Amino acid sequence: MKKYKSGDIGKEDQELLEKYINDGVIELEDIEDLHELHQSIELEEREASPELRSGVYQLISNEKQKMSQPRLLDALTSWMDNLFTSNSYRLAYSITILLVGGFVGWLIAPTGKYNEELSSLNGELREMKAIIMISMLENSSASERLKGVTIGYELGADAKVIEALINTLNYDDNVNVRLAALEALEPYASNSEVRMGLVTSIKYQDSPMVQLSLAELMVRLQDKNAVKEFQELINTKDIEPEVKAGIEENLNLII
Amino acid sequence: MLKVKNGDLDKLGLLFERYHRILLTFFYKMHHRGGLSEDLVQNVFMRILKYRHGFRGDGTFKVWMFHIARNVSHDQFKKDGRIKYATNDTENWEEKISMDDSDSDSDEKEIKDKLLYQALEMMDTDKKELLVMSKLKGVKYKEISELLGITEGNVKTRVFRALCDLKLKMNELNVNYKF
Repeated sequence: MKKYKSGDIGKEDQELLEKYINDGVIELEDIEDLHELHQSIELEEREASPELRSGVYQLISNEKQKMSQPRLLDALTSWMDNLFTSNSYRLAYSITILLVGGFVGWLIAPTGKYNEELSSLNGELREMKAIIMISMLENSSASERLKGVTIGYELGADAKVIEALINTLNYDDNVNVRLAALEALEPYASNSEVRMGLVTSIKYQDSPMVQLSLAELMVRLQDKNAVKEFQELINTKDIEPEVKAGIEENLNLII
Repeated sequence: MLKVKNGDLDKLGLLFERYHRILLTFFYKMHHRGGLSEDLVQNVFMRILKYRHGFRGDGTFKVWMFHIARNVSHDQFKKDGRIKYATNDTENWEEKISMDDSDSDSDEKEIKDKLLYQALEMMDTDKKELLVMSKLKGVKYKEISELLGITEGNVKTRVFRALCDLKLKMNELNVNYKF
């Protein structure tokens, strides 16, 4: 310390001094001149202007509005309402009636394969729904496609369904349909194939909303593979600076 | 913040009220423009809202917020086209230190202050940022250590080095000025 005070401090002593500080042997306050210097740095305290305050509160209320917009669960309930009106559902309805009729027929027939028939019927019903879903996803109307995604969300862990959802995520024209597909896939993201599909999907995405939602999902999943894909995306595509910043921010949150 | 993450967005308003001063002070010292500092704070809160799901709650909100604030600050530097690295150009500073009553004693503190602030501006952005953070009201070394991902001892060592550097630059300015 005395050497330091006399100003005549060599390199090793400097390093020793730093080590003492690091280990807490010497506190910064003990080094008087530096401590005084540190104390004399004054920062001008700033207060928020009314504009800033109102700007931030506006951000909050905008986000609140976004949050209250219809989401998949609401779409599910409105799906129930559509049960009797939409054409595709009429189709599903009539097929179901046919199947039920067939089932009753089997009941009457003198065979002992009751349980087998029931489960194969269930399987057929699911198959039917999957087929309907896939046909709806090819419909020219975006709202029909959206309903299709909803069915997919309900059907879930079927490879065909997942594949269809991923294709929708990658290739559907309509941003809202793509976002719904992403939402529908999220619960199954623990499945490694779904994961892979999502990560590969990154490079196909042009819409900033989908890019950001994907990035956010990756943060929730803490998927490191996504980081590489996103970086490539940033480098190869023309992205708006705000979105780029958003993606990079998310990437930073993936440790 | 966990409440905000779970959907109670109004609580973010409370966080704003608690932390806006310290953020503004930070940005103003780093970037010097009042209007810009406000934009940067708004940017921070926008990102907090957007990425609220990324807040894991295993560290404090303050550290997470400062992580975002530093990123916003660095983005601004990139935008301005200058990540500043230390300049050794002390010769031109004498013009910037204007002295009206050069002989009166009361100005000695003024001179020292001017030298201090000029020297601070000449520092590495990282060093300057560290010193500024260490002077922010209510920010502790422990929090800085969490923010930077280093030990508390390391933080103190870095502050020590930054202060030595600051002193050095002040002396250089002083010498040149006296000439």
